[in-house]
Amino acid sequence: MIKHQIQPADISMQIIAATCAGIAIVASAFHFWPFENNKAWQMFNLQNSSILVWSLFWAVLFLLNRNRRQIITLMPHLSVFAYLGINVLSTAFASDRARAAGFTIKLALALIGGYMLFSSAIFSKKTLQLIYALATAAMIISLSACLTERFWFGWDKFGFHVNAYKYGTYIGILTPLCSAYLFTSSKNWKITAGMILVFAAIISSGSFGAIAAIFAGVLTTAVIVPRWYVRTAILAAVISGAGFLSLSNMNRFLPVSDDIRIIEKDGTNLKQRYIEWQAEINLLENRTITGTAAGCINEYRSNFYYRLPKLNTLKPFDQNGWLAAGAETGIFGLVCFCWVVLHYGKMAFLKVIDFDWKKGRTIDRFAAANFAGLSAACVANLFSSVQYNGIVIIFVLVIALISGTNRLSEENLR
Amino acid sequence: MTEQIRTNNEKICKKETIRNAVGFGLAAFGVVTAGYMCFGSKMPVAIENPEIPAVASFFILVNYKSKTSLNIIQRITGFYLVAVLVNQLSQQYFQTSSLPINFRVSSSIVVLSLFAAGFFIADKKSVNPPDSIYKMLFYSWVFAFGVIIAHMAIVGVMLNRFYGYGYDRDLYVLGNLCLYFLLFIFLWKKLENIRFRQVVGLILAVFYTVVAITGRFS
Repeated sequence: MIKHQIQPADISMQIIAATCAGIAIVASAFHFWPFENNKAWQMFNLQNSSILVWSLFWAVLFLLNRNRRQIITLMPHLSVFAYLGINVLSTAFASDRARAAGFTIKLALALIGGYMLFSSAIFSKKTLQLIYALATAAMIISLSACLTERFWFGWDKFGFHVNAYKYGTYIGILTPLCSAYLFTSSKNWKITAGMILVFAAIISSGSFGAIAAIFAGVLTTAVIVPRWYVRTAILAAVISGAGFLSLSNMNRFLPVSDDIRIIEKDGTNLKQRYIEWQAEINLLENRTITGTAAGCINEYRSNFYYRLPKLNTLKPFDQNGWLAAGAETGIFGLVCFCWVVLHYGKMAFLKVIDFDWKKGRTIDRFAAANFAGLSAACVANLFSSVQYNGIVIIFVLVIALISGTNRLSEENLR
Repeated sequence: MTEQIRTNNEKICKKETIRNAVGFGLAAFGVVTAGYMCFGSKMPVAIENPEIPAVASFFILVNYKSKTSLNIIQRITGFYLVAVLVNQLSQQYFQTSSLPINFRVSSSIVVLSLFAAGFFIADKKSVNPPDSIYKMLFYSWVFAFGVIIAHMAIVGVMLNRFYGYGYDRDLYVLGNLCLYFLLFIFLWKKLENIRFRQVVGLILAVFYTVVAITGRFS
């Protein structure tokens, strides 16, 4: 039997991998700060650069025929390549070739390079714990910046992410991932920290998507973890966060109530978000397979409103990631994206049903956190897109964690 | 007794070979028909960068021995490129005005029926069970259908309350999705065969290269 050699050849490689992964995770909290509007920085920001450096390093090793087998074992599942393949093929229909190519390159960099970087960094339980700690640190940085801007300075901004939807997707996935890991700890201070994080994330949210993703993720944790104190802590954090949010909304302190409403401020029109959903479904009528090309949804979508009003109130990234994947890469692109989610979802679910809380295994804590993170990502993808540059890294982190946890638990069994 | 068993086996083998050949021929003819019909008409979706599908068609032609992952990517590419041709045909109709009933049928149905015939003649009766990738992709289709239908239901109710926007478009979209789902079922197993993949790759390579050179559909 061939034994899986998942580790890079020596300790120095492991240290480089863990360092690059750490930089990428922490840098994701800063998003495109401080050059938000600079296209070059959007591509070569710190998180993308660390992935790029690592990818080039692996590419050279692969071409030199060194560690080739190890590199192959660290690659993402075939479904990811299939999805990227469809993205590449869809660029044949792009009127703006540069835009489609840019989007696809960034997506490929994150989905392959990012995945391999995180997988290389996960080589023991200790490094897995380190990744969760770094993700929690990134979340705290993002939360603190947002809370300071909104509550201290009274600005209508969302920290380094600036946009409510991007911030919501980022925090909506990270909160359940990190808090589930903290909630399942046996130490009281960690459970308290988890509660504070959930509470802070809920009150800092400015979008329906963020609230829905956090609720979905933490409630998933409450369902799958059969411990009364975990459930009590989660319920307490959720109820207090939601209570504070609704009370503060009475004073028009936060704009989240506007986003939850299904009608526009004029009171006579349906919220533009839902009209966009229909336009994306309509788009599948003529461009069922071809789509609009990866990253080019805005080029064609306006042709598919038909009799529906175009209110121009949709803010950037208030997209539906599922429908956007279908509209951009066609139905087969959506099928391949669903394949990615199903593959890693199945892997995460099988670990969850294998729980044995009596033994107090650390691997169960990882499994619970990963499943909660993936559930949150699926819900967040309804009100924003997990595939956009700067956000996709968190989705990749979740699937790499699922795969890494699975691999480590298999190695423990051997 | 042994002689009889051997004769029977030979008969079965011969039958299966004929069935496979007919299935192969029908499906390959389906691809040729789709390409020919696309060429003879104006395609509704412009192929802005035809060199990409042209290169992808040449990729299908390569025989990667024992590289399972690459074979699956080739099958996915092959399916996508054939489906693009069907997409170009789905808005073109055959119409008969001479009959008492105005009979209208999409050109894509003609191509689909060729693939269906090929599937029912050869693949449906094949003894080989479907592979795990087929199963996973099948569930992914179901998942994608679930996503689209759930959105249609939610938005349908909301829009109807506000603007009285009907379900006619949604039904058309659903019909289209079913068309490609069936195409996937009929074509996936066939694409497992390297010879079929190469034939399809050759037809597509000719088609997309001509499109790229002439710039006819961009």
